Amino acid sequence: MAIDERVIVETVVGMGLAGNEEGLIPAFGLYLTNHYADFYNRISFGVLGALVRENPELTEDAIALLTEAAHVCAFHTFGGIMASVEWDALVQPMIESREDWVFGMMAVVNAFGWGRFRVAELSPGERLVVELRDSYESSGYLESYPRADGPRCFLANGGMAGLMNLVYQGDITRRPALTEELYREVFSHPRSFRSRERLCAAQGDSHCEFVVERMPQ
Amino acid sequence: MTLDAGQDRRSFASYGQVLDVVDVGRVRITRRYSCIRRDQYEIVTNEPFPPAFRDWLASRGEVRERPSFYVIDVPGAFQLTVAPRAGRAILMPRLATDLTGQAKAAREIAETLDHALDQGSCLAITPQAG
Amino acid sequence: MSSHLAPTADLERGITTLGGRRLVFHCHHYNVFLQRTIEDALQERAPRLLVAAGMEASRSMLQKLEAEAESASAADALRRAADMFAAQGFGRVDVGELGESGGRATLDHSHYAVGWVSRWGKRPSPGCFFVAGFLAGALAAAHRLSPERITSREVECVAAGDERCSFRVEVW
Repeated sequence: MAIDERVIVETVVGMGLAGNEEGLIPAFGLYLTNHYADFYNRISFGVLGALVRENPELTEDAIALLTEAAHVCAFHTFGGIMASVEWDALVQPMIESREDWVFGMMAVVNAFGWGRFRVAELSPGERLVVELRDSYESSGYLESYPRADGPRCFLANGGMAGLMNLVYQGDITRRPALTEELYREVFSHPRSFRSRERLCAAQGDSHCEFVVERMPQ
Repeated sequence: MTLDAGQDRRSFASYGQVLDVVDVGRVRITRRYSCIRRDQYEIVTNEPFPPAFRDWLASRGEVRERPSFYVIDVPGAFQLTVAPRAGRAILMPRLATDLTGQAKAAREIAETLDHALDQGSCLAITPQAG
Repeated sequence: MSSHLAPTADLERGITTLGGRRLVFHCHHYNVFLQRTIEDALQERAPRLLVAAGMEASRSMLQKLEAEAESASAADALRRAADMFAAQGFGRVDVGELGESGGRATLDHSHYAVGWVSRWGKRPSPGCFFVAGFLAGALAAAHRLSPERITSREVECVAAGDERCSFRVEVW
C-alpha cells in the first residue's frame, strides 16, 4: 500500500487553512469552515432528543435524517476533495489501486480534526471496517449527556458509507460531476453501501467502530 | 472566455454544473457554476506547467508552497491552487469580484500559461517540483 | 492585522483545539444541509436551537481565550473574536457598532448565506442562525455578561435576497 498517511496529514495541516481577507476558506475546490464541534453536537443531539421525546417511535427516522446529512457531507466533501487539485498533487501520485482512494481519503480526514480514523479491514468492493478514536461526536456527547443507549457518531458513520459509495458505486476515480442526480443514483442504488456503528465510545466502548457493507439483495 | 455563452445556462444551473469549456491554445478552461455571484474555473493542460508560469503568478500575489503544489492568493481577486506536475489548477474567485472580472482573470491566466508553454520552459522543471 | 489565535493540532490523535474546545473542518454543503435538516424537523423551534448552540459554542471557547489573552478592552476582545470568526471561514463581520448594551453587526460574505444560495437559491427569511449565536456569545465573553441576558437575531440576509447580512443584538 503506497499511501503515506503521515505525509498527507502533515501537508494538509501545514496548509494552514484559514480565512482570506473575505473571511472564507477556499480549499479542495470547496469552502471550508474550521467549525465548533460543540455546535454540531448540540444541534444534532438536540434535534434527535426533541424528536424522540415527542415520539419515541421516531428514533430511527431522526437518526436517518442525520445520516442523510452525513451522506451529503461525504458525497460533496470527500467527492470534492478527491476531485481537487490538492488531491491530484498530493495523494494521486501515491495511488496504486482503487483501495488506495479509501486509504488516501482517510488520511486527509485525519487532518480535519474529526478524530483518528484507521482502516481495520477493506474487502475491495464489499466491506470496510474502520476504527475511530477521539471522535468529536462521541466525546462531545459524553460531555453533555449520560452514557448513550446506542451509537452517536452519525456524521462519521454516514461518512464511511459515503466514502465506499463514492469509490465503489459512483466510481469517483473517473471524476464524475458531483451533481444531485449522481447523488441520488449512487445512494438510492439497491446495492449501495450502508454503515453501522458497531462500537461507540458514547455508549461506553473504548473506541468507535464502523462496519460498511452493501445493502442485501 | 465568453461569459455570454454560459449566461443562459447560468440561470438554471446547479452547483458544480459545467457552464462552458473553452480552449486557449494548449490550455483548456472549464467553467462551473458555484453560486449566483461566482463561478469556478478549472485550468488544464496535457503537460506539466512550466516554472515561468509560477514566476508570473508570484508577481501577482502571495505564494504558499507545499511540496507538491502551490497556492497563489491575490487579495480582492482570486485564489489559484496549482498542481504543476499534473498540469491542473483551480481558480476560485473572490466574492467581491463580478462575473465578468472572474472570466477575464481566468482567460488572462490561461493565455499566460499557453505562452509559457510555447516558450518550452517546462524542460526546466526541477525534479522536486510538484 | 489579524489578532486571532491559531488552533493547536494534535496529529497523533487527529484533533484540533482552540480555547480548550474542539474544532472540526466541514464544508458549506454539510453546514447548510444539516441546518436545513434541523429546520425541516423542528420548524419554528429550529432557530432557537441553532442560535443557542452557536452562542454556547462560541462563548465557551472565547471565554477561555479571553482569560489567556487579557484584551485591553471589551472592544478589543470583540475585534479579536471577529478575527477568529474570519479565520474560521465564516466571513468577515463588522462588530464596530456592538457594545455592552448590544447594537448591530454586519457581515458581507457569510459562509452560511452564500452556501445556502449556492445549493438552493433564496430562502424566505434570514438563515445565518449560527452567526447570530456567535455574536451573542462573543458579546457575552467580551463584556462578561450572562448569556441569558442576550438575544441576537439576523434582520437582513444575503440568503433572503438582501445586499448583506446584518444582526441586531439586544442586552436585557
